[in-house]
Amino acid sequence: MKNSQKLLEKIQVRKITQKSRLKFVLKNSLFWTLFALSIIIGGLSFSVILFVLNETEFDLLSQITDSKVELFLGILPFFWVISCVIFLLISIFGIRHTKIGYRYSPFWVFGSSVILSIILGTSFFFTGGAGKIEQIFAENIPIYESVVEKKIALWSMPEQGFLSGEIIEKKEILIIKDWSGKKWKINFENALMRGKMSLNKGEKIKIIGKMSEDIIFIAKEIRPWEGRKMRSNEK
Amino acid sequence: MKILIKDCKGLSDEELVKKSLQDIDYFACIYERYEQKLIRYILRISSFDFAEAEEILQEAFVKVWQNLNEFDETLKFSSWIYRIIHNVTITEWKKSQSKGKDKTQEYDEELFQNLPAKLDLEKEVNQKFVENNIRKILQLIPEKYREILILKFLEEKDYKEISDILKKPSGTVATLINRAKESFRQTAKQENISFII
Repeated sequence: MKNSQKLLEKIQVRKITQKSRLKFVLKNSLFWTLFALSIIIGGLSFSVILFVLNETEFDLLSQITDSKVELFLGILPFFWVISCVIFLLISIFGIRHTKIGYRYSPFWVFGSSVILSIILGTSFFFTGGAGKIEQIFAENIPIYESVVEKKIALWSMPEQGFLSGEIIEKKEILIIKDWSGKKWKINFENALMRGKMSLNKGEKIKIIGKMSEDIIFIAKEIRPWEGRKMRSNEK
Repeated sequence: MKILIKDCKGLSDEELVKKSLQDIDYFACIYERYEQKLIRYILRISSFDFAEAEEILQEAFVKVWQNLNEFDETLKFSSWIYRIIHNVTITEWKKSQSKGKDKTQEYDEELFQNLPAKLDLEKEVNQKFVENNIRKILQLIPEKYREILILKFLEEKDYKEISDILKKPSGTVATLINRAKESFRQTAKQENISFII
């Protein structure tokens, strides 16, 4: 008996059936979907990294006492960096397991995943979506502390020279209400204005200075509450 | 068997796959078309004897049959079938090695006749001497280099085909071939084997 006949007999006797085309199509689609989703989530994570970095004032590091540096570092987006790296790895895993994934070198796969995530993340950041994601996380995940919450904590240390809040009155001095509702009289006579500010009622500001009495704060520098985007317009 | 081999003549591999999906008898044509080539390939990349190679091929073809729907025409059918045979053979070979069957690899005559020239080795000294030494060197070089030398210089596959068979990027294949040639030369040097007069 010819070997080819033996083979057909073997297949028929063992009742070996073919796996359906759908199974292979689904498997391949699953890995492409995993790749696409990971790029999207990685991109979103990258957009939040940009958002947080935009909110972080690195020049403060020199002015913060050692004991409070931890608070400053806490603002940095470690969670999002880890998330970005994890989803980048998942996207590489996804594409490597597609039917044609092996044709691309690991360097090419890594590079293209990074570039796609950066493009997507940057676009999302500029459309304002990153802040919303951050907010959704803060609202829905109890252990997650948003960058705004961390920023409030950092800028609510009058004894350390950092104060922030909303202007409720402007005369020769500013009267602001901090995030706990306490009113402060701000002497801003010699203060440096950094960024575009009108200092009108309702505006939120950050102040670097010195607390002189319980409710009086002498401002050395005033900045708008928003991050670097606003400050980038300054002259 | 209702389909005669002559009925398959003139049909491409891809057409045979389509027909096999409708009628299993056409699958025998695929088997017969590739049987000799693939048995030779199994013998080249493993230590199996001829009977074992035939058995491996049968089992590998059962796998081919099961996965026939996976084949898509963006790939050459021969690359796809070589990939399956390669994987089954390597798996079975490793299994047999772990069971303690420590066999010496045997290579066919063609290997020893063609490889020296293809590896840019200069004038052959003595055919028997060359054969024995190539056999020795191939046993000593790493498996990843051995299999790529066999695919490139004996199976005469191009980079794209080797890439599809081994599921490695073409660039990696090119690098592996260069390293394999270097490994071959280095091993020859270490063993004090010279192919140059």
